[in-house]
Amino acid sequence: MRRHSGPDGGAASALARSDRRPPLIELEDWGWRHAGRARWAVRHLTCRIEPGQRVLLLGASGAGKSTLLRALAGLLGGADEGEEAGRLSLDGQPANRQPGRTGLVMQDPASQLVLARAGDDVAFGCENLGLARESIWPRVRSSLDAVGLSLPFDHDTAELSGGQRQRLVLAGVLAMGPDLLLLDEPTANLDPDGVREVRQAVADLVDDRSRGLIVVEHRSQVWLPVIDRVLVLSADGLLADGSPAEVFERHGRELADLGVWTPGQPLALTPRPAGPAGPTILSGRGLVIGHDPGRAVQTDLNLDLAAGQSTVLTGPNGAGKTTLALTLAGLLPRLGGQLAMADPPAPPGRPDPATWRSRELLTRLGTVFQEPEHQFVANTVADEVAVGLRALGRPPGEVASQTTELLERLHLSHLARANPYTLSGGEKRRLSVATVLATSPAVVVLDEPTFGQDRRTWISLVELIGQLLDQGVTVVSSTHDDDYIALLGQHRLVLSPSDRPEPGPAGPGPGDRRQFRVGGPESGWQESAASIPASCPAASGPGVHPTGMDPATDAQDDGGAGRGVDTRAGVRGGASDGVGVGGLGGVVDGSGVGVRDRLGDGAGVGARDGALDDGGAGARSDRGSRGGRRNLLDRVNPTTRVAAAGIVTLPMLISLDPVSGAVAVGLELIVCLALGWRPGQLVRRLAPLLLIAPVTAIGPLLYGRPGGRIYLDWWLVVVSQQSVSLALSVLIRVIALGLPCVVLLGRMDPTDLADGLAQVWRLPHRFVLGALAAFRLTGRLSRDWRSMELARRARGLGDSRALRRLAGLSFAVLVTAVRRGSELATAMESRGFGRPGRSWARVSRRGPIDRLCLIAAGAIPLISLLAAVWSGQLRTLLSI
Amino acid sequence: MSDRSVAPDPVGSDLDPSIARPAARHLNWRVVDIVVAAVLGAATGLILVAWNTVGAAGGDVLAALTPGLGGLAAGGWMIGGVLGGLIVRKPGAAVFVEVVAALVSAAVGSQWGLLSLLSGLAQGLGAELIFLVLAYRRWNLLPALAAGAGCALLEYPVELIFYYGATVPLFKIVYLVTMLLSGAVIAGGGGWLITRALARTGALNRFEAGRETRQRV
Repeated sequence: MRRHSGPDGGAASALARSDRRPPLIELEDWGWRHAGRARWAVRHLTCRIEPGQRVLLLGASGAGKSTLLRALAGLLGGADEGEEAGRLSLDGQPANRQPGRTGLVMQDPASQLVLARAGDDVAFGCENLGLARESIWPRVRSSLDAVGLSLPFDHDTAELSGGQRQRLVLAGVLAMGPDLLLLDEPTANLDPDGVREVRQAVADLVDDRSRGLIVVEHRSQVWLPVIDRVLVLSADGLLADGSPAEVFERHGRELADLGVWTPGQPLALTPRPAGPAGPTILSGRGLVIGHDPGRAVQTDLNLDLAAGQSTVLTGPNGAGKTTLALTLAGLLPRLGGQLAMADPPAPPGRPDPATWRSRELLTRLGTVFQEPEHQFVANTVADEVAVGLRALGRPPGEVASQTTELLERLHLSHLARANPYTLSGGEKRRLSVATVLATSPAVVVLDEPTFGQDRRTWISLVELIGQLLDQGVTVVSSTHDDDYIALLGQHRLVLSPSDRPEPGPAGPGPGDRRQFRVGGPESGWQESAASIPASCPAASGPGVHPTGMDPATDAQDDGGAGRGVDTRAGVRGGASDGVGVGGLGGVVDGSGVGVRDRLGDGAGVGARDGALDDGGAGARSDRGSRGGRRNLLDRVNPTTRVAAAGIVTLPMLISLDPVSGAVAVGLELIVCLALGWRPGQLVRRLAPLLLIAPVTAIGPLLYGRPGGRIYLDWWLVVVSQQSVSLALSVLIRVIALGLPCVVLLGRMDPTDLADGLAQVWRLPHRFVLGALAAFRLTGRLSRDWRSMELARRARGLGDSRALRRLAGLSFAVLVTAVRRGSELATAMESRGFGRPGRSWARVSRRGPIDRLCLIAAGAIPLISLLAAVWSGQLRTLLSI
Repeated sequence: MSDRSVAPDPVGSDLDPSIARPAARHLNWRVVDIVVAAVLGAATGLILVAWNTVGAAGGDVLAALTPGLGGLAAGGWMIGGVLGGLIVRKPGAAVFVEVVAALVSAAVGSQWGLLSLLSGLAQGLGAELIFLVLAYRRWNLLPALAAGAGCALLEYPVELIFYYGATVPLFKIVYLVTMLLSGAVIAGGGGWLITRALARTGALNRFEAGRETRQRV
């Protein structure tokens, strides 16, 4: 705490660390058991880590590595979360009493970014520590510099590549001034470039030993140049401890068996020979692929997949590997061109997989998704495997015997009755493969199958694919795993990124995706054809990198021209890594996530992944004059806008007559036009309202209190003069109530609203910021939704009735939501969130314009109601 | 958070904490409670929009054509409050989840803006009152059903003010009954079932609701 007592100096000294030193870590017979668990996550752990030491923490999955890191970060919680044994201390003090002393970075960057703008996100931890505002922004700048990210503060975090995001997370941690960095598989979710970027950034930070480092990672080679000690955890204390050379020398074999990628332990696997020419099973001509008709990721692709052989799709992030894989799998509708499967296995006369029913895919094209959980649809592992067989209508006896056999083969028998979601990462991967193999498809498509897998799972996966090839199955994999490519790349298709020009961060309107969408560059995208050299003989091309990582050659400079490329990869990385058809795709129209698309079975491609990724953080009208749409309303404090919406609408609720409603609508329209809205724009924004308003009038029309002339009298229905007038009043009132909300609340920046709610209205900040973070997660959840929807088509469930399918999908999304929420909570807590005494890096202000807004808002209902009184038409709910 | 201590009695900790260690019953919100509640709200908001795009347009028309039977579909909108209460088990959880759900659905695809916020508030309060009356101690099926009906009970006047205030009494009565039924069955029963199913996936491990259903493993 002493370290944060006063505002620091300028940018240069913001991260100066002269008065700090890394902590001494002492563990004495330490252990932790999570509440509700019989088994201890860690037990009998005794060790001492000297200040400034750089430690690689290894161990089998489930050995408690993450638990130990969370304990050191002070995040394990109180007695209701679990049971502690022994002693764990940093410089003799419990870890949870030293907020900001340690900084934790976890695996998935997307669940660790809390706010929409890069600068805000880095500032988040400083705010939680209660630092003075003037000291926060210099820290933000120097932290961004320290991790090599020279982004403007308002850069959209959703537009960054994986490696950039993870470095941003690191910057957020760094800004809090930690003396100990705790990294939990920080590069497992990244592509080779991202891995290098993050490793380099960390190496720079710990270079002068002013900070300690403990890193957990399966791929130990990544960190070899950085670390000076290896600790190996087992279920019961330490298995090994020593210098990297010592430990890998003495325990190499053992570590490899635990699943650790160990230097000096080569894979005993033989590469498949380069593919001989053979018959083609699947061919594409002039393929245009993408998630969204306006935004092709690749155009004019020609390819032929050799039957019974393995083909790998490689290329840098954003080149469209995943998009191509899903298109070939018959899941993602292509935007153009031809795709045809040979007959057989294709059904006679219908070669195009995109036109097949979901069930018809099962025996022909199987897909293993990048995230195994997206494929899960059943309550037990056994049912999960049986789903496809049942969809094919196989007799129960056969289903049971095949399921048992397959579980045996994939070493999952002991888990047959377990819930699929409760499996470990490796088990989930094996199960996701099993579900596909159950129906013996002729072609198996795998999307990043080895992503984040430990050595053991990796090997069993590659062996399994080898067996499939031996049986004559055709295998297509999108991957950037070099070892995988070396072993299974019989044919290699290298996708190069389409070279669409894109403004770098320094250019005009860098982050404003709305501009691309409305403006011309979209057409430019289409023209940039990229060709795939089919059967590229050697593993070369933009996406292929050498396996060994040489720290000397890969120091990545993020400035200048390189940055433009990076950014594009980020934007389109979203577009290719997320999966999206139909579903919750949508148009971000600034009001938030903007889901407009119909849910359909593969119809209506609606994915703007990159765009959706930022959740509700669509509009940033307050910041700068992007897009030229800035109007008077943007200068009004968000809380004032909410208050104004209340003032306009609530008084109108008491009246129910056409006069007051019509006058209000008229006044509202006048204000809109005065604010500079174009009529066309207004109609577009109001379209949903105009569609729903008549529906709300049907009830009063048919069942309203009768009076005056009767037009129709049938059973309970009485349409009378009065009920017509009531229906009309309801219709007008719905518009009068909805219009100001659309105008005032639409296009509001969620971050600015949250700032206002917490600072101006003084709502409890923990809840406001929690809601804000959750709001951002909606973009991610929409992508999950779309991916799960595709997965259901792949699993043979796409033909079932809409309601049933939706129910299943909804539950799956809830599971994902809770898991992502828990992860996000840990990430937020690791940045000091939840403590009292928070400060605010951004100020939410009100001024004269806010008063003006409120007065105008008050005038509308007042004039409307007076007009109704004056005309003698005023009718209230009570008077009817 | 400073009261972290080693549980003195490993046998006692196997029992239901609310009985064995009354002091350990925390009504304070942890960060994970807040964030997961908010995410539940966001997810239910999104899901409702999704359901809306499939059925609701047709359903709305159909519901409006029948005398008050439209209330039968209302339960779907109230599920967030019950779910939030049952999972998070903290005072205000039902209200918080409903409000976030309303905000998200308003931002994502609803025309109603502030009005959906009012609805969310009313529904959340309805469920919250039931949980409050039970002193945040009972989380079985029956309280869930009651909470669902509670949502409907408070949502009813809001709907009357918005749309149906001027209808004949029969319509109003049928609407109330169908809403209550739908709230209890869809929101209450559905919320309870979903909570149990979620617990089985291990997603609720950091919550009491998740640990009850699963045995120690």
